[in-house]
Amino acid sequence: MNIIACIKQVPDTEAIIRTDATNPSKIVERDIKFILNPYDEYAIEESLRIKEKTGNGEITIITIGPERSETAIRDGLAMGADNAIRIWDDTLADIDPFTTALLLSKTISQMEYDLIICGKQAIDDDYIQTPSILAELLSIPQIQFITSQEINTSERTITCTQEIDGGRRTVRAKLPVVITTPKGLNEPRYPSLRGKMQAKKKEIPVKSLKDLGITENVMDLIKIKTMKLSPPPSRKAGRILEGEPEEVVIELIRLLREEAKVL
Amino acid sequence: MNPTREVFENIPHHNWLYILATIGVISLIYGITRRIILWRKGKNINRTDRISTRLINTIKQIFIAPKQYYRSYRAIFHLLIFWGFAILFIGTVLVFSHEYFGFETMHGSFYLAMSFALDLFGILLIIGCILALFRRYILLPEGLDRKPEDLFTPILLILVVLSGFLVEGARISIAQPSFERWSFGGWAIASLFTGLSDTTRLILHRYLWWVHISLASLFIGLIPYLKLSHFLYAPLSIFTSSLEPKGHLPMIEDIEEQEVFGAPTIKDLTYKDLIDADACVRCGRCQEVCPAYNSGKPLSPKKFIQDLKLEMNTLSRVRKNNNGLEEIVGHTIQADELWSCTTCFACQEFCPIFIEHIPKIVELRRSEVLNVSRFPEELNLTFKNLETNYNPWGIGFADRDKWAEGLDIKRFEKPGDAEYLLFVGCMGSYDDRAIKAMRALVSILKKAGIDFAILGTEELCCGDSARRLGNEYLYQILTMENIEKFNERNITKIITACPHGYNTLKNEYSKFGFKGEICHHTQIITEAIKDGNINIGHKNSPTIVYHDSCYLGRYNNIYNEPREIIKRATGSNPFEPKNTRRSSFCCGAGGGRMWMEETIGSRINEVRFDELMGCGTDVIAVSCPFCLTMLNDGKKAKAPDSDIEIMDIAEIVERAIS
Repeated sequence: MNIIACIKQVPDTEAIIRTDATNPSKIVERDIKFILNPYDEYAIEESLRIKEKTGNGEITIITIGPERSETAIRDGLAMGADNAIRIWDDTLADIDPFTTALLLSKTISQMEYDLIICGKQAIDDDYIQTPSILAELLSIPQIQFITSQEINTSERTITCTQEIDGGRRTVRAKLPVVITTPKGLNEPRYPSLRGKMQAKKKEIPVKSLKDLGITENVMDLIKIKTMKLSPPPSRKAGRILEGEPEEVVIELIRLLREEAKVL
Repeated sequence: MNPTREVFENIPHHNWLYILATIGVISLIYGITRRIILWRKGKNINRTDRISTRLINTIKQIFIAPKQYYRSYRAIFHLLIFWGFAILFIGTVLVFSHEYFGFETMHGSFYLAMSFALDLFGILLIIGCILALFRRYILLPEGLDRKPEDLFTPILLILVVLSGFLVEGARISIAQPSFERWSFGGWAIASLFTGLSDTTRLILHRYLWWVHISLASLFIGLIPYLKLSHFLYAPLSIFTSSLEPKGHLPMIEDIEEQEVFGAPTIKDLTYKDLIDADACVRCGRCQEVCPAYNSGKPLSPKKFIQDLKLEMNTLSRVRKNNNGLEEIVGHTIQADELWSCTTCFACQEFCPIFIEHIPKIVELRRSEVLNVSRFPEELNLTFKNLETNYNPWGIGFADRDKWAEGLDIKRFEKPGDAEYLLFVGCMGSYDDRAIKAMRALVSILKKAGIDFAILGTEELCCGDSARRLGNEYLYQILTMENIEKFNERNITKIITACPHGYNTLKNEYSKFGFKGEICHHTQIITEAIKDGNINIGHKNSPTIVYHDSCYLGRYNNIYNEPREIIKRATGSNPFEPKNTRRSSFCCGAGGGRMWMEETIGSRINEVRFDELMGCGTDVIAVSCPFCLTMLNDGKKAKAPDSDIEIMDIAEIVERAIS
C-alpha cells in the first residue's frame, strides 16, 4: 500500500489574525504560529495505521507551501511518514482549491499510489473542495468524512463508513481512492523524540511548476479569487445582573424582551 | 585477683570454628559480589565526588539518623537493635584482637566493663527484636507486609544473642568467679545450671558454644540474602545520594544526538538506582506519606522500589548481551502507577536511607514519552500546546500579557529596563483565579516601590510540567528560549509567584547556563514588610490555615516566610493542619498531574481540602497558583456552600495593606 497524504500548513487556531492594510485579501503572517492543519493530522495518523496493518508500502506527504511549511511536513514525518514532497513557486501565494488540486494531481500522477488521504478541510480557508477536485482530476472515487475504513489488499478495495443524518452508511470502492478524515476518526500520535530527530534529517525535495510541466501563468489557472478578508464583529461583553433574585429576574425578562428581543 | 578468662577454655578443636566462619564469610562475600555485579550493569553516574561531604552525611545518617527518628515509635526498636548489634560487633572484634593481636582487652576493669556492656546491649537487642516482632505481627500496622524474612530475621538475631547468653551462663556456672557478676545476664543464667554435675556443665558449655558459633556463622552467611543486607547497602545508598538541590533530575546532554532516552529497561537506570532497590527494607515511610497511595491510586513508592528490585533480578539472567531484558513499564511497573506520581517529594523527604524515587519515575516517564510516545492521551494536547503556544492550554501566545491590561506594567525589553523581572508563569498569565493573585502581587510590588518589569508575550512556560512528565526535549527547548531572553536583557534578579517556576529557574536553569537570584513572592513580600516598605495592619483579621506547597516547602525549605507574612497580616500565627511543613500533603497538581485526568481512587485535592477545611478557619492560605486552583476545585466539590476562602498570600497581604 502506497499512501499519499495531502497536508497543509495553517495558522494556529489561537493566532490573532489581522489582514494586511494594503491588501485586504491577505493576512499578516508576522506573530502567527503556523501548525499542521489539525484534520491533516488525522489523515497522517490514519495512513500510519493502514501501513502498520498492511505492513508494506510507503507514506508520502505532499504539500503546497513556502519554506515555512517544512515544519508541518516534518511534524508529519516525525509521526512516521516516509517521504515528503513540497511544491512551491513564489507565484503560488493566493491559489484557489482548483489550482491546488491541479498541482497535486500533476504530482501524484507521476507517482505510484493506492490511496490518497486528505484532512476533510483546511481550517484556514475552509473551502472543503480540494480533495473532491483532486479525485475528479485523477478520475478516481472519493469517499468523504469517513468514520472507519477497512482495506482488502487482495481484492484491492476499501470499505468505509460515513456518518449520515440519522444513521450510518457503509460504502465500498476499488482502489485507488481519495478519502477524507474528520475529527474523531483517530487520536493522532505524539511523535517520539527519535521520530522527530529522524524527521529532522530527511531531505524534502521541492518541485516547481516547471517540474510539474506547468507552463501557463498560475493566475490564468485560478478560478476563484479572494477579494477581501474581514474579521467578525467583536463580541460585546456579557452583563451580570446583581441584586435580589426577584429583582434580577424581572430585570432579566425586561432585557430579553426589550433589548435582546428574544421573548 | 585479675578478672580475665581464656577465650577458648574448655573448647577442644576450637579451630573448627574457622571452617564455619569461613563458610559464613564466603557466603557473605558471594552474596554481596552478586549484587555488586548487578549494580555495575547500571548506567554510570558521578556519585563519588566530594567524598568528605558524602562521608560526613553517611556517618551522620547512620549514627544520628535524623530522618530515622522523626515522629516514630518504631525508632525505639531500631535504636535498640542498631546499638545492640553495633556494641556486640565491637565486643567480638575486641575479643578477637585480644586473642590474636595481643591487645589486652580481656583483663581487669576493662574486661568487667566490657562484660557488662555486652550483656546490657545483648538484652537491649533482644528487647528490640521482640518489639519489632510485636509491632509487625501483633499491632499489624497498615502498609507493613509480613514476608517470611520479616519473621525469620529478628528470630535469628534473638537466637544468636540468646545462645551467647547460654554459653556465657554455662561457662560461668563451671567456676563461678565472683567478678563475673558483671556479666549479669550470664550470671543469672549460670544459676540455672548450678544443680548440674561438673561434667554435665562442661559438656553443656561445649555444646552450647558450638551452637552459638554455628548460629553466628549462619547469621553472617545469610546477611546478603535477608533484609539484614540493609546495614551494608543503606550506607551505600546514603553515600551515593544526590548532593544537588532537592528534586534534582539528571539532564540529558546533547539530547538530539541520543538514541535511547530515560530508562526503558533496568540497565538504563543508574547504579545508584540499583543500590537503592537493594537497600530498601520496605519500612513503608514513603508509602505512608504518598498522596497517590493515600488517595487510592495504584502507586506505592515502596512497591515501586521493590518492583525495580524484581526487575533487577532479571538482569542476572541476562548475561552477555542485553537481549531479553523486558521494558520495565508494562512488565513490573504499570502505566497507572507511573503516571500517578505528583513528584511531591514526600517519599524522599521521609526515606531514612536517601532512596531517590522521583528521578527513577521521571526516567521511566522519559522513556515512555521520548522513545515510544506512550502516555495518558490527554497529555498529547498539553505537549502540543506547549510546543505551539508555550502554555499548557494552548491559548494564543500573543495573549500572554492580557492579564496585565490596565495595570501599567513595564516590559523588560533591553538591559537595565528594571531591577527585577517578574516571571509571571502560565498560571499567572492565563488562569482566571491565579490572575487575581498575580494582580494582587503587582499592586504590592508597586506599593513597595520595587522596580520590576515583565517579558509580556515574550515569556514562555518555565517547562516544569513538561520535564516532570518526562518530555525533556520540550523542557529543554522552553528552557533555552527563556534563558536566551533573560541573557539578552542581562536579567539577574527574578521574582516568581509560582513555586514550580521558582524551583525550575533557581535550581534547574543554572545547569543550562543561567545564573541569577530568584525570589519567590513570599520572600520579597517578607522583605518589604520587614524593611517597612509596606505597612500591613490587622483589623477584623480572618483566621487562616496555611497549606505548604511541595515545591516551596519540601523542595526549597521555604516554610517560615509565608507564616511570618500571615502573622504580620493578621496578628496571629496561622493554624497548622495535621500534615504540615515537611509532611505537607500535596494538592495533586505537581509532576504534570495538573494536566491529567484523575479517575482512580479519591481526588487528591479533595482529600487535602477536607483536611484544611477541618481546621475550621475563615481562609486557606496558599503560596502557589496550582494549589490555589486545586483547592478551589476541592471546595467546589466538597463544600460549595461554605464561606471558606482560598487565597494566595499576596491577596491576604493586599487586603491587609493599610
